[in-house]
Amino acid sequence: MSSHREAPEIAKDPVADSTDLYAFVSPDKADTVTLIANYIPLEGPAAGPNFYEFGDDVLYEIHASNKGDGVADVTYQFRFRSENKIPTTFLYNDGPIESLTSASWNRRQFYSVTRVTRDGKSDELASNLACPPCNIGPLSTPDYPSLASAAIHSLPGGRRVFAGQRAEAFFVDLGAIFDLGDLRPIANLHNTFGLPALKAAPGVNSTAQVNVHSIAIQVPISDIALGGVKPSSSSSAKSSVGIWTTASRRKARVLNANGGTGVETGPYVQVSRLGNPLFNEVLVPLTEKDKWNAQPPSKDKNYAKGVAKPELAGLLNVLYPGAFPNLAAYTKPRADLEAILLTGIPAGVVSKDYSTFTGTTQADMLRLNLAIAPAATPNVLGVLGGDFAGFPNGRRVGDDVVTIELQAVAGVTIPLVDKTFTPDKAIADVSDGVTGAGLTLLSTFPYLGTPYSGYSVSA
Amino acid sequence: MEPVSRRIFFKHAGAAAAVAAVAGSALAAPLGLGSALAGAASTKDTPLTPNEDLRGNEDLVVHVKNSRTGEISLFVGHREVIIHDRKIAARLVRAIRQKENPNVIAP
Repeated sequence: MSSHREAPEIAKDPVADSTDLYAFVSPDKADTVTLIANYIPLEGPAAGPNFYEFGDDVLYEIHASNKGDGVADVTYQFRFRSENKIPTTFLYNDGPIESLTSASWNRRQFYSVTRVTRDGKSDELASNLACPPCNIGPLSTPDYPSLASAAIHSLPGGRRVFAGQRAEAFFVDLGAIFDLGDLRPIANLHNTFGLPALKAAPGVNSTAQVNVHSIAIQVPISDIALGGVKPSSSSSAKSSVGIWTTASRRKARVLNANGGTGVETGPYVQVSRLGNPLFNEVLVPLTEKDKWNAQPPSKDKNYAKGVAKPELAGLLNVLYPGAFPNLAAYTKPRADLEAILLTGIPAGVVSKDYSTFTGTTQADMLRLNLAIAPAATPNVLGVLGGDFAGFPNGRRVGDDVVTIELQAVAGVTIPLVDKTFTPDKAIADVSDGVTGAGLTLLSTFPYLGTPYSGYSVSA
Repeated sequence: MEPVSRRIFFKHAGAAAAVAAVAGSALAAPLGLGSALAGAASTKDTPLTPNEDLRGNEDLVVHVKNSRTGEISLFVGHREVIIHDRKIAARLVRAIRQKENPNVIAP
């Protein structure tokens, strides 16, 4: 999965566990950029009586680096607090929730948004912003889209923000990938370890009909661009920014014997991080994953070895014997993956008009070229599909990042840096076979679809 | 006897003793006055002045990372202050012993 339950310790702390990060020039408002960080993996919609919510004790942040060093130049901070409006009831709501001020809505969340710059200047943009409720069902949340729409708040400086439950937009055949890589479309080529052969089959979306909690902020491009100026040249290294999200907790915690939070004090320490999808999930050894989560991108040169020699590429040759002979014979460090994931791709490699290069500092950030306009007809395979406005130039909510990254690891991007390499024929079929068909996305902010209700989906 | 508001939690982690002391403790020495901490053992019965005390209901959590070297982390507000004071560490460890066995000589 993109970053759902990717490391042993953070998997036990779902409210602080980032699942996906999106960054793209807003398709309906091209002078702005939209940044979305999702948290709380695999929310079953039928979650009563205590429905999902952000952590009041977690500091959520979305960072932007525009100087190429993996250090945040702009950070948006989000702090939540919960209230029980009806202290005597055991219910989340004791009647239909028809507005964000409904008297029958008991458990609510509010949040503040603060913008912090590299020089330490901190500016609280807003506080006491209401989250929408979770989508419960036709009696409790009869007009959910209206509730969600009311929870889109305007911020000073032409910014907008939304924080609350959304439908999961990431799609992946998790069951196949982590069953020793038996990708269903090419399962007939798998060695199956001597067990009965598998048949090729369509993929199964393991994240269908689950929800997440999203923090979405839309800001003018100038808000995160170098020098505060919207760039105009897509080939300039100054046009790309690096985006990542983190979640942090207070360093010291003493539990209250009578229940509740107890004491939390001391500085915040980072417990979760996400830049490029699947980076920590696939390229960092299990024993290092939680440490990686606590590190800043500026230290990612320590993990570059896993990118230059990805374990998954070697496994493909073992799991699919004979299917990837060219990849098996390729022994050079994977400069293509290092460029895609750690430095960005310089102009002239893919096209003279395409660059995500941010400098030589190796840092896992989701790089977005702010001078590349949104695509009129997006291709879910992004740059692999000839669509420069898609992953790995940022990431849009519909991009098929699993297929893109599987094919990249399997060698489809090696010719970008090494013309002597010819990708194996089997690479065209390397996919988990899940396309995202059926996802219902919004055409406007916050773009992620209406969350599934507990009534409409069985837990 | 220590002030009535004192509460101490003990937690052992490997060779280190972790002690969490909550607000109002006489062990809650004023932060930012590192030199004063060095003399804390000899001024244990001196009440804190209002200017020295923690602000409001601010909690203080103490983590003795290494009782032998006296490395102690103090968590208060959004800060972590690290001190090295073997005497304070020794007093805390002896306080544990005394609490567990009143026959042990008081620190």
